[in-house]
Amino acid sequence: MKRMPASLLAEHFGDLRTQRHAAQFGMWLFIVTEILMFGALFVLYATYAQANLADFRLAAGHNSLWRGTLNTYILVTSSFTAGLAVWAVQRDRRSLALRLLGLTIALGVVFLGIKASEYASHFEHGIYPGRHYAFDELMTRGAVLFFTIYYVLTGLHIVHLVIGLAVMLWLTRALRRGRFTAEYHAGLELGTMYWSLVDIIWLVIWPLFYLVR
Amino acid sequence: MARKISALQYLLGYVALLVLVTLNLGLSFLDLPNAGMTLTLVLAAATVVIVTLVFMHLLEHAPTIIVVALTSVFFLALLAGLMLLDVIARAPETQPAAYHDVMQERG
Repeated sequence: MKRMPASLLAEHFGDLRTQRHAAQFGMWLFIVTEILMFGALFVLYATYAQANLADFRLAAGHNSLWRGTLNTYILVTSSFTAGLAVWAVQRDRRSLALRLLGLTIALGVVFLGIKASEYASHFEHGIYPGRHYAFDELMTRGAVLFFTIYYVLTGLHIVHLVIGLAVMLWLTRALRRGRFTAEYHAGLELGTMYWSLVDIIWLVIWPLFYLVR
Repeated sequence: MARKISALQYLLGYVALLVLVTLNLGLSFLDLPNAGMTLTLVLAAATVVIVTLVFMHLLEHAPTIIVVALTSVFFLALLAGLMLLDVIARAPETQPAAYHDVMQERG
């Protein structure tokens, strides 16, 4: 049975539209903090790249281009399926939305699997962060810096992706229980926004660590 | 009533992302040392804009939210711009050891 919009309205809001706007506004403020945090790390990359450009190009050549690219297509596709899930709920097509959220989760898990295989390949070659770096083929200061920033950024991205997966699972459960309707589905919208943020971060990581060669 | 992003807009956004990602990948195989890096970053920025507008629903959000998003871009540009300006203009003189290799490469 569909819940009445009034039951979704918190008492301190006059109507659902204002409540939805406040939720979106809060989410964007959170996203801004995330952008500034990752932005600082990207600036750190640019700073070290400026001084060690040749080493950075050589080091990027030792990252797996096909794995990085495949993961880019996977995340872009997952943003599409997450966005379509919102579209489906807006049109009261709950079963379609559930399938799209399931697909989004599956794509996120595949991303993690590919990333894990890439990390394993790095470890086999002695490519570790910081002082543990032991890759004999490329033993330069710039390469150590490159792979240290690589682990920091991709590691932080994975943390965000895992949180995103937990959010997607929660959204699936909430949708199955009928908590999102065509009239009001701010929670689903905010959750998929977070998922797209994870996609955006990767869309900057990919060229910096895989394409600059 | 706020406008909603249509299925066609989602699809167009997705296709545009696939095209841009593929272009960026193709670019990495061309021998364009400096221009290539700039183009790569421009294409990456374009993909970020599409995801933000379509999949993060900025197209259908209220103007106040758009102001918040643009403010973050401004502060990020300020952070990156001032930092890089310092690195490019001053660091080679104040930290010559760190820039020794670069200066040698540039002759």
